[in-house]
Amino acid sequence: MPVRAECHCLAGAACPSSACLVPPAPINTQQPGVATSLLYSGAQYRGYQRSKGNSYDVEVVLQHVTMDDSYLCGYLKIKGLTEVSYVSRFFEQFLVPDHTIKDISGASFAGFYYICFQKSTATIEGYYYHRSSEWYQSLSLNHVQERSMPIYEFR
Amino acid sequence: MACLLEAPLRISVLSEVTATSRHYVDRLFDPDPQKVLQGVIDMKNAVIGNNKQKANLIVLGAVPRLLYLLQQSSSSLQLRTECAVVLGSLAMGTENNIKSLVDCHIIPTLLQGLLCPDLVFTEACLRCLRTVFISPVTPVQLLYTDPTVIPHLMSLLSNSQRTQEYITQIFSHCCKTPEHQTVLFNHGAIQNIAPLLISPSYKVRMQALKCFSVLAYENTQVSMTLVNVLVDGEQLTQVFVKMMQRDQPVEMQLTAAKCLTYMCRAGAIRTDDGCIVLKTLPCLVRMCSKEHLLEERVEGAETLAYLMEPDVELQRIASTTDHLVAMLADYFKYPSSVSAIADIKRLDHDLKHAHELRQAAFKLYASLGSNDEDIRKKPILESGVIELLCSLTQSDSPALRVNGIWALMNMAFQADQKVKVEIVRCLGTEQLFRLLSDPDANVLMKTLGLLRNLLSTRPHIDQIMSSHGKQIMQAVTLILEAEHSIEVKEQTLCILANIADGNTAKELIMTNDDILQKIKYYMGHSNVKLQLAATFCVSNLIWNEEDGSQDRQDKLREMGFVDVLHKLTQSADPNLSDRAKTALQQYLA
Repeated sequence: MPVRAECHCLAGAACPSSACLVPPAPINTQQPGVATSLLYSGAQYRGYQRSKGNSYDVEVVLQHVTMDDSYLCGYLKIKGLTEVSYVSRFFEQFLVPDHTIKDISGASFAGFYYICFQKSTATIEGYYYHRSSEWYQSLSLNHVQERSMPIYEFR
Repeated sequence: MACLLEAPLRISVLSEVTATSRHYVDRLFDPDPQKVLQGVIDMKNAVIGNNKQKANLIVLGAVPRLLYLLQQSSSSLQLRTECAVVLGSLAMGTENNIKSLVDCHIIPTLLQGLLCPDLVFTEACLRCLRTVFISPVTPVQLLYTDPTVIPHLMSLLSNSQRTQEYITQIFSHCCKTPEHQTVLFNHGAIQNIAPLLISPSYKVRMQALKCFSVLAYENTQVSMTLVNVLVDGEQLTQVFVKMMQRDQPVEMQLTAAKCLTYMCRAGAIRTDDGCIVLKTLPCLVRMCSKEHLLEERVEGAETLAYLMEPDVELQRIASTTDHLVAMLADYFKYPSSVSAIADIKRLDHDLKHAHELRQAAFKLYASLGSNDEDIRKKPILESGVIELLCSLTQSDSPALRVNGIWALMNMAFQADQKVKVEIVRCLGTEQLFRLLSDPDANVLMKTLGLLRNLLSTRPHIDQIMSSHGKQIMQAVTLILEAEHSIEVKEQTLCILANIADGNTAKELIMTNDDILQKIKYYMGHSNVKLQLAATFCVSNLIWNEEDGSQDRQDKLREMGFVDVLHKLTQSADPNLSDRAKTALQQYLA
């Protein structure tokens, strides 16, 4: 295919900037230092989702967070909701491992979670909303503290 | 004269010029037109397959004279045609020849010549133009400087198979930018070239196909238009599909696959369309297999990576097609284990270009499983991709080393013990530490990132530090002592912070006064990021929920760390002051 922009560094010379990466790195990318907030790639939150009379274990793992773009994505795992344990994206976009599934019996994921992250208490609180689901299902999660974190950077 | 060589070179070339060559040129100046014509014909015969003769004649100034004769209205048609033929022959020499021809303004002269109605003459001019334009030393922009050229070439397309072949080859080679695509599109390239796809001449069909591939690349307007084109009643996409059939020459299959790939990426064809899933994808996978030449496999792999890049479903299909992943693993051992090498020349060529194959295979790997957990995790341990990524880190090319180590870093992110152990085993500690002194800063950063990821979660930290702790501490010390960027030091301090979270691993820091002094030094550094990382490390060391924390707290207090922490609680940076406060609180509980 037609050639894209090439690196013009001399062979063997130290190449300090990301301009020399082939292909170039994503814009605004940075290898993370120490996490300065509780919202970082790999951060885990655990707690419960409660509906009338029922309580389900929930685990949320943030896969990728970029403060610059105000973006985060991750996985939400609910146990005990159906016969099989499914994992769903935080804003319920689709199910993993099979993203073509639109419906599973016993669970609805067409809705939204409205959440609030509170830094001082390291908690996430919120409610799940969908027009035809039971209202006021609440979500309550605590940050799982880690003191040795791995890092992830998209290539 | 424009095409004379510079002095030093001229002397050495002139010494080889024979009297015969000079004679050929002299005859071009004969007052008798018949003798001139015969002279040109004889020159034509003399230069066929003789690069030395071609170079001689160029040095002696044959080209400006030939161009003069070609454009003179008093020259006979036969003379003008023979001049065009000789120039075409001279253009088939070396790149230096072509540079000389271009310097003599051969392109504008021949383009002028295309205004003549005689078919044989225009074919000769086009043939020469084609040869000049496809040379890498010719600036393609010369095709676009005169705005009347492109429309005129379009009008010549219907004249003969030869004009079709030469003109489409010129277009396909000279269309390099979105601006070029637009100019050609606006002058009816699609309508004019589409019918050529069913020409009886293979060469014409092939060049027309190449035109479409360069026109469609990253161009939504072109790609959307192509979807609606009919060629003799058949949809263009179906014509491309037919050209991917196994009985077609490989070049045609590959180029047709590229056309559909580019149309798909430009949004004109859905990724779940049958022609993509059932035809293009398998064709490209086929191109990657052992039977094909290196260049074909590189192009196949790169095109496949490009096709699948944004689409999980295509990645899934590709990853389960025809042992693609295992096939790609072979690429990294090329040329020792794979295709049948027919001759030494081929082997030599392939050895020189093997890195292109590795790079293409890497891009393909990067695309596979970039978006889906299952695809990413399952084939990895089974396919030997860790091994091949580790081998990439040994490449001479910094770009390949970076990509290899970056992939390993991400692979180690939240990985289970099995994967981490496999990474350390395949890479080897020697290679790991070699990478920590790599001259390329990106390689160093990603190696530090890998180490950080390996040393995360307590059981893993203790396990790795118990077998490689001494060397890791040595490497960390060296980096902190040497001249490095802030980013590199930050990563290194983060590694120390992770080690400080281990159970038994903590001791490797606590018993190393030199390292402790360095940590204290960085807590007082002018850069906040380094202060933060160093403070985080101390915070882990003194965490009072851990056994033995009392002793560690005492030792660090004696070394003056508490005083430093107090100072940091007054820092203007809120993150730093918070972190220091949290650390000090460990002493109070």
